Amino acid sequence: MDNANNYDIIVIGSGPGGQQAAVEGTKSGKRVALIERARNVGGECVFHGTIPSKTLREAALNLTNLRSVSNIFQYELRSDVEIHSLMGRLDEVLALQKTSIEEEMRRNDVNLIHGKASLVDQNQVRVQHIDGSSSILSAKNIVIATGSRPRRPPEIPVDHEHILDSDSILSLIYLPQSLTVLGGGVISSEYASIFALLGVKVTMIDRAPRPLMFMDPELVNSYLEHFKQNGGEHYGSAEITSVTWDGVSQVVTKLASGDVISSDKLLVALGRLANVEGLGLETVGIEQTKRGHIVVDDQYQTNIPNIYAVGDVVGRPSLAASAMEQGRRAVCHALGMGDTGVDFSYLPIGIYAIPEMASVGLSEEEAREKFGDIYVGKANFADIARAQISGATTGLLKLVVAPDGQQLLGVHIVSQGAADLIHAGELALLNGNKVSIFQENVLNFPTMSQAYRVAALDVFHQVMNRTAEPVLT
Amino acid sequence: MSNTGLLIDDSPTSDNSETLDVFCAALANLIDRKELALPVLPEVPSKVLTMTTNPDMNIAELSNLIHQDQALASHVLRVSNSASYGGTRQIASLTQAITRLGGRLVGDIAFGISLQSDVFQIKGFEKMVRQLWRHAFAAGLFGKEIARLRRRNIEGQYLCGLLHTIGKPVILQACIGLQEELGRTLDKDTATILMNNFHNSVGSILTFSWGLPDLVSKTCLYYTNYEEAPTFKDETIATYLASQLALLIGDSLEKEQEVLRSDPAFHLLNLYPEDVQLLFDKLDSISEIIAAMAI
Repeated sequence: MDNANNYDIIVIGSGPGGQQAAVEGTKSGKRVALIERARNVGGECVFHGTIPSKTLREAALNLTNLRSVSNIFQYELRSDVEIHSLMGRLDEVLALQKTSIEEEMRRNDVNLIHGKASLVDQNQVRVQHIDGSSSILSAKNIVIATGSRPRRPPEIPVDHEHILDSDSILSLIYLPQSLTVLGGGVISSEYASIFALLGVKVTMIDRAPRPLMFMDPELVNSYLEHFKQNGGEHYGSAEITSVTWDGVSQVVTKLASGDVISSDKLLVALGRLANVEGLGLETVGIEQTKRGHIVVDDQYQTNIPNIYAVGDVVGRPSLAASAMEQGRRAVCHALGMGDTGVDFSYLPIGIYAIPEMASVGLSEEEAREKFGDIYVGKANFADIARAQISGATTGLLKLVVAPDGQQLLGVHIVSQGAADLIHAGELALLNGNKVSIFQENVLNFPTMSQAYRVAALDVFHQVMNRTAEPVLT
Repeated sequence: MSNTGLLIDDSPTSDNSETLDVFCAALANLIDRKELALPVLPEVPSKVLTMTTNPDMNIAELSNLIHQDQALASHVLRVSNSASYGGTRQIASLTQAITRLGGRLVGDIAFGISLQSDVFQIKGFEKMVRQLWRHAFAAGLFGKEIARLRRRNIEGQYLCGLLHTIGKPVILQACIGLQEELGRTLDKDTATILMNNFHNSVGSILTFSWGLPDLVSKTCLYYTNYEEAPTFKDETIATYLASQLALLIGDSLEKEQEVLRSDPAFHLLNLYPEDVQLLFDKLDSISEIIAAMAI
């Protein structure tokens, strides 16, 4: 084989996990090829999902700001507004993303290859190029980071015109008057809240009693309250019996309860499928779960020792941030650099719904189960000066603290900027800090971070009260 | 291959280059001075467009609206009875047709057909206009297929395909009007060159004046030069490809198909050879729909 096609590491897929794996490889002095089937490095989901949806979210937040000053400006969204016009900066953001990712890969000497990859054996990968030609590459190690795509349940006829998935919803021309959202996960919760804020009548339907079951219930209640204030409706514990396009103008969703919901459009967000088709996993005997995810150990190694898998293709938590760390860890292990020692038990979760939610460490329920009589300190953003100034008074911050009143176990936030705010809590957890760190040190004023101080003081008062209580014998 | 949008209808040469220059100058002048007569969006397609995007639309209302135009009604029925739509049982009423095809598709068909019959009746150029519309319809249908393949919303791509050459009949009509003033007769070759030269900007101006989405006017303007599109680049490339695929409808040669298969625009949309094949597989069914429309 031509030496040019011999690598130390081949990474398949250029999403966050793949990029990080490739860069870690070249930084360690290895020759790395990064194969991407899509046109842009970064992966389809970044360019057609993550970035456009966050851009639309910004538009919705700007509307909120405008509405908050409606006593100064007479403001109303035009009924015929085009979705594209709401995402005015999208092209610019996409171009910047593309350039910065490509530049990072170039700077790190990652060899980018555009094509579809499939495993020939455990060291060789066939690349089918877009012009139909193909080539064979070889490497000592291979990292699979091919991501995921929206799941299309066979009983729901997604046509990308009336019944949409999370890829096609953002290419709608106009805002629909009404939208049904199937599912209660991250994607459905984000889109439901964005469209509701834009004035669309949104109905969310899910089998679970509440959306985002893995998040703190108090945070989710705050989310649902906000969603309902914006005209949204939520059907929990609902079983869908059929979804049909009426052939004229409405998508009709029938529930086992007898409820019938009609809407202009319907978004199906009932999970995602691992992108494993055509990879040739069976050729080399790579194990998969029943759901199609690749089985890996805690170093992201598959059952074939020199082949690793990271990101959505291995299943939960399916977050960009964790995929990056997985990519780095996989390559470190492959290169014999051992366990990287990163503690995944403090993995932060950020959900870009409106309002934003974030979480790290143990939930209140988990902590109670594990430690018994814990403390929960709370700060309502309605009481935080910066939130009052910004008109962002919806939400709260919770500190979960061990029964000794000192050890911090978890942090949960629902508020504007929660995904950023959570990092102070994450670092405190990683450093094993006591909760008093937030009350005994100076935090800028006025800031949203003051909520940490208020919640820590709440814990302090609870500890004082509990200690002062007479012990009943 | 350059992206001129002229895979098959290569620009004819005109012996009468002086006439061409005169018409070119006159047209450019009309456009620059914003004096080009733009047709208003006629009542029926305007209502169809409004109605099919209205969630409160009902079948009876749409049926009544289409009934107002007998030619339109017969076209819709003919399409709904075509094999492409699985019509084993002949249907005779518009209400049945709407139920079979869906309000949106009937709306799409009615919109295009009524535009053709109401806006552009150009004496002496009937065959040419008919060809333009056949091509536009086919481009609309291919646009849908490209969007479906790419998991993008198909509504907008249909409109882009249907209207990407809407500037051509407007130019033809304007040139007919200019004949007397210029003291020259317009021949078909000259007309074709003029349409090819000016239709992008005129189509963009017209669709903008009709209040159609920005997407449509931008793709009209840039589809023959998609590299320059400042926004909607993917949709513009898709419109170009839909237009090229539509040119294959009818009696295209294998050689022409092969040339198109290697068009770099497919690569820009990240369509691999197997994806491209799926689009070529649609040639027969789209040909059938176009034939059923008999426009």
